[in-house]
Amino acid sequence: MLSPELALELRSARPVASAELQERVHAVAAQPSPERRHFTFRFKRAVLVAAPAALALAVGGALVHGLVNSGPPPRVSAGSKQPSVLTPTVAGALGSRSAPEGFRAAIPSAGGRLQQYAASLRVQVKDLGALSDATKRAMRFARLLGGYVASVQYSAPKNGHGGASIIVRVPVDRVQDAIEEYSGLGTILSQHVAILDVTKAVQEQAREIARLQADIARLEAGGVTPDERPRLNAEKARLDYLTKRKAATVRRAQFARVALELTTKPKQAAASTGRFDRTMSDAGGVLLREAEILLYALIVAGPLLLLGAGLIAAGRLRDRRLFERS
Amino acid sequence: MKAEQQSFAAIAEQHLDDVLAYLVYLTADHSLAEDLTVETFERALRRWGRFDPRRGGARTWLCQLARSAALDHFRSEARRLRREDRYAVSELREVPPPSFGEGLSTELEHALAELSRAEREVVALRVVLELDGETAARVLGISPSACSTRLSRALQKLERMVSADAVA
Repeated sequence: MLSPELALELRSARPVASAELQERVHAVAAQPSPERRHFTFRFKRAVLVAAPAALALAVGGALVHGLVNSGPPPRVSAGSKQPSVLTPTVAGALGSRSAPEGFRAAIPSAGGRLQQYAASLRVQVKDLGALSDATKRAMRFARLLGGYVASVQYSAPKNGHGGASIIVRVPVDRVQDAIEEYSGLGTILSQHVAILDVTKAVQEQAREIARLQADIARLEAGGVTPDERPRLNAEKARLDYLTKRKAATVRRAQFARVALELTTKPKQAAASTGRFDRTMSDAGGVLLREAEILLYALIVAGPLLLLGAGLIAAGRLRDRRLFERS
Repeated sequence: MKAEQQSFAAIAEQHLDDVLAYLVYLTADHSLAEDLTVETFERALRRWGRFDPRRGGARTWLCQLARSAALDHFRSEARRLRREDRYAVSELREVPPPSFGEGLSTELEHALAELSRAEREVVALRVVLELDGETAARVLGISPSACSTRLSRALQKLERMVSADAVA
């Protein structure tokens, strides 16, 4: 430490402002000074307030988002309807829970018209054993109604949920029986009916066939000249095509297409999670997204921040060197 | 408004010698220190609206402003020297003998001149102005422990040089 004598000497011989300097400083002090601010911005204090506020805002926002979006999950349970896939004529008819009643109302009586029916059902059964039984029962019933099984796909893994996809064709007048039977196999998840009236198309085909037959008969009756032979052949070919097409259309109108999809219950039902779990999960997702945005901003701004820090460090080093001089 | 002007004038009156002493030790040039003292009070007047007594006393604030003014001067001087031909300038420039106050012994005056600016300013703040360690560290922009270390080294150096001069 400095000896008291030296310290006393330094203090007693401290520089004192000359009269001229005092005058200069008094002149400065006599100038009007700016008003004192009542509020002074302090960077450190602002950071201390802003950082927790931003954190609270981020977490609060995530929680609010989670709460808002954690309502009851969409029910995929018995009796759920999918009117969007229904044809306009049946959408309103499927108001009741019971599929057979809905289908019964949805499928109007033909009344002598030719109509192609297509129905599809998604039915949930309780387990793999029930799936096997239901599949066999559906196939057997189609044959019992006078129809046939167009295709079947069956999948029953040891773990996980199994499923079967069956497409049957049954006589149109027995389609309601088929639907009723299939609806009873388990819980209906969705159902769909589509009806296409082909009466007019078949009538037009019949008229065209009659016209072709008359034309061919007229040509053959008068003796076919070599010039008329290509035309006759073309008309016969057209007649053959139309006859087959009309027969196919009528046949399709006689058999309804029913697609049955069977599925077992999922092992872990999503509905088991509570609202709190969904809220936390959603909030966690939002926080993760916010963290991603923050990381992205840091990556973008990182080089600039490093450059700024480097410049500040260089400036401080330069100032330090200035003070190391005597 | 009137009261505030008087308040600033009173502060200027009260701390003028402190600011001058600090700047004399920092620059080792009495006339330069006087110019920088005026510059310091001009800056203080401009920033008077932002002065917050709760963050430190007026003397601390004025010393910080004085240091900033001196630093700006050193920077501009360094730039000027780089621009000019150093040899020619050193021959032409008149370097005034360092003076740190009336009545100082030659040994002490010489020893102070041998210290670096950083060492002299810590002596000025801690010994001459008798600021406490924390306040001095705030003026210097360093930690109190760094301030203490710097002061200790400066005083040891000062003692050693004074003793050597006395023996010689």
